[in-house]
Amino acid sequence: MDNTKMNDNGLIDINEEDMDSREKPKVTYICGGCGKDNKLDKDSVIRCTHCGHRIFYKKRERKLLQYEAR
Amino acid sequence: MYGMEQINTATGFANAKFGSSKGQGAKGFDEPEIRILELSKYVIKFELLNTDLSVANSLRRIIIAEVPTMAIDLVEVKENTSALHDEFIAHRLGLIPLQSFNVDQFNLSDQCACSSMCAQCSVQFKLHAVCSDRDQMEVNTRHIQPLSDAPIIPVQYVNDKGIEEDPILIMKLSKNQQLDMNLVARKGNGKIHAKWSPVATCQMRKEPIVEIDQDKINRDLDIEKRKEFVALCPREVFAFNDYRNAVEIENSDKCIQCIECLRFAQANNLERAVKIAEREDKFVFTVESTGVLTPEDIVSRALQILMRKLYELGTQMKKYGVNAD
Ligand code: SF4
Ligand SMILES: [Zn+2]
Ligand SMILES: [Zn+2]
Repeated sequence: MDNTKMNDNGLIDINEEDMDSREKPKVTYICGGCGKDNKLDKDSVIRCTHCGHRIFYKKRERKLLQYEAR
Repeated sequence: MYGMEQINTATGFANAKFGSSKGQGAKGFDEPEIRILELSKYVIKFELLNTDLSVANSLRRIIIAEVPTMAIDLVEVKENTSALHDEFIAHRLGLIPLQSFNVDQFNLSDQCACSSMCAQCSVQFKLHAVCSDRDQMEVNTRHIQPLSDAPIIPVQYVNDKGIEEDPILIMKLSKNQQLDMNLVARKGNGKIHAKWSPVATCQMRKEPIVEIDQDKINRDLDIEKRKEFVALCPREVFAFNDYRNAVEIENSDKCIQCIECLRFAQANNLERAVKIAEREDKFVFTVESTGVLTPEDIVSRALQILMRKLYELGTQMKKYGVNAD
């Protein structure tokens, strides 16, 4: 199955580059140590390329989110 | 005054209903009556006379849970970089009281003809706040901007001197944090969620009766004991008259039925000299509004809802051949 087709939820970062090279989908996370963005795929080591920190945070959903105020 | 008039018509209505078919109500009550004891901007105190406990309690429950108001019910978050998460802020927004004087012009969303939302069943607001030039910023109800000209806005409290109080604080932002949300207010009642309840307090109590046999107490007890008797009541119902050296009832209204005085009387062989009871036909209500409606309006709306319920019950009973009296 073509990986790029299922990536329509806002969490998965697809840019032109990825689409062209047919790489594994990469997700951008924020490093807990230095705060820089890191693109990780499902097999990559959880380790910041800039500072070596091993804790990452998810980026916020970009869609409009609805909540019931109850 | 507008509100008072409405209450009087509402009770007149109630009188007509409860009284007319029976002449005299069940259990031999006279016609029900409401006497307003106190009325201020946010609080009403009134007596409900000549009805049963069941009727008084229905009124209390309707005031709390069935008088419709408006409240924020849907929050669409576009941006939230604050320290609080979306659900947390949404919940806070839901609890903000909105002035609901015009609640009657709206439909309950599940009874509205539209498929999801329309101007007849919802009011839209925008909440946009950015903290760019300060270390910390307070987000309050003034940041909630209506997107339509519907007369539903967050409550602005006014103190006793008629001066506006600070708007309700929602949350704080620190530097470079921002909020951008669309809010939708809907009509509802306290049965669905407590945020739609129009009252902060709705308290009902039976009026206490305290009777003492003054002759007996002042004859059989020595002065020290009489003073002790006066002092033992935690609510200062009794007073000691220094001229007569006698026990008197000062304020029977304050009694909380703790029966301290009865126990004292029993211990001193005065069983029949003190009587504590509650009136079964008189209820004292204290209703404190959250500001969404005026307190007198809450009571009159609740009475109308009670009337409609009784009317419905009556017609249904007639339909099935039950004697509705
Ligand atoms: S029952 Fe309690 S509160 Fe009431 S009069 Fe007696 S001592 Fe006072
Ligand atoms: Zn890092
Ligand atoms: Zn509608």
